[in-house]
Amino acid sequence: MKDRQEVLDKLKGVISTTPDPWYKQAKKRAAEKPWKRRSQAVALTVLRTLRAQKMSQKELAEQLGVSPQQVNKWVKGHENFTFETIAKLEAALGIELMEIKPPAKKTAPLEEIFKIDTNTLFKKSPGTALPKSAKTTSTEAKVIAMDSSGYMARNEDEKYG
Amino acid sequence: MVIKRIFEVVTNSLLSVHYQGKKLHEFARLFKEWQDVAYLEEFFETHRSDLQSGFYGDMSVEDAVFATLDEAEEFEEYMVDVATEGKKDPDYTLYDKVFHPLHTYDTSTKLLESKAYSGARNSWLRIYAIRIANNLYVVTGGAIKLTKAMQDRPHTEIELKKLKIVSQYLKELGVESADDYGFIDIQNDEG
Repeated sequence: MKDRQEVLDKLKGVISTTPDPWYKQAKKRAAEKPWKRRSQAVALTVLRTLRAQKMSQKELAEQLGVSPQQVNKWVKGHENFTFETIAKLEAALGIELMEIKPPAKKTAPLEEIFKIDTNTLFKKSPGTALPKSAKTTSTEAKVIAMDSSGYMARNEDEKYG
Repeated sequence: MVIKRIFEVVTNSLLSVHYQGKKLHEFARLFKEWQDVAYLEEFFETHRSDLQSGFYGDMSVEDAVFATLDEAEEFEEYMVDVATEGKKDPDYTLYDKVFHPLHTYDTSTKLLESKAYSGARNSWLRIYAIRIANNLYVVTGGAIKLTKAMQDRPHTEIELKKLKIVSQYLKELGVESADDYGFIDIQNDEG
């Protein structure tokens, strides 16, 4: 096996002096990583739908009023799609490409939400039973749900209340 | 297939051939294709019978596309780290870090095979290279290899031809002695 430097010297004339394009491209791809997988999933769903519907990229482009090159770019999975483009694709293909989940609702017991202290609310005399209407059952404690922003879930309230 | 020039991917360690008529050198082309959803969907649809023949289990086109995207991304990230290190230290080499020839198929041409993968499962990603000195490689091409032998499918068979073309080209440049060539493909087992 030849010495590495000796071999490199022999190849000097054919090794490009311009920088390797891969390194820059790879760095760019790495920077796009946080959103790229979603774009790739959209691209693959579009491609599989086109194939299932026996529809060409050109036909999709015509339907959307964009160039075939634009559609070709989308389906590579490198596009940072706008909501508008997603909506247009969904309408054209009759599929759902994206689902936005509503914020998770946080359910807290009634007493925690309103800090109800039934002993102070109804000043009872020693030995007097608490009025029936003031009793909080466990079912009632669950009926008011609040989400993370403090919104009271009215539908839950109405359902049980 | 004519060689236009050679790019240096990792300083003093990994070179990659740029063929005439191609936009990119081979190493760059492979990572671009392996992260192109349209290319992968078409490829796996075309080779669906190989994909579902049992050699790699029975995988859907969708799963195959995502498995390839995952592996290519991970492998590329690792190679970026290696290349970055190589820019800082010219003596930094690949051999012990990334490239592991595994099996000798043909001792006369030193045809070696290993796997290029970054995950736990067997990978179908292949990068083919010729070893021309200790810790010095020339990438000649690569492929998604779904069958056992390179000769089994045209898209892998052509990679054998590319290895021979580059080998001949290097010989003409004075990087000689056929016995010094090792045809290998590479493995990233860092994942």
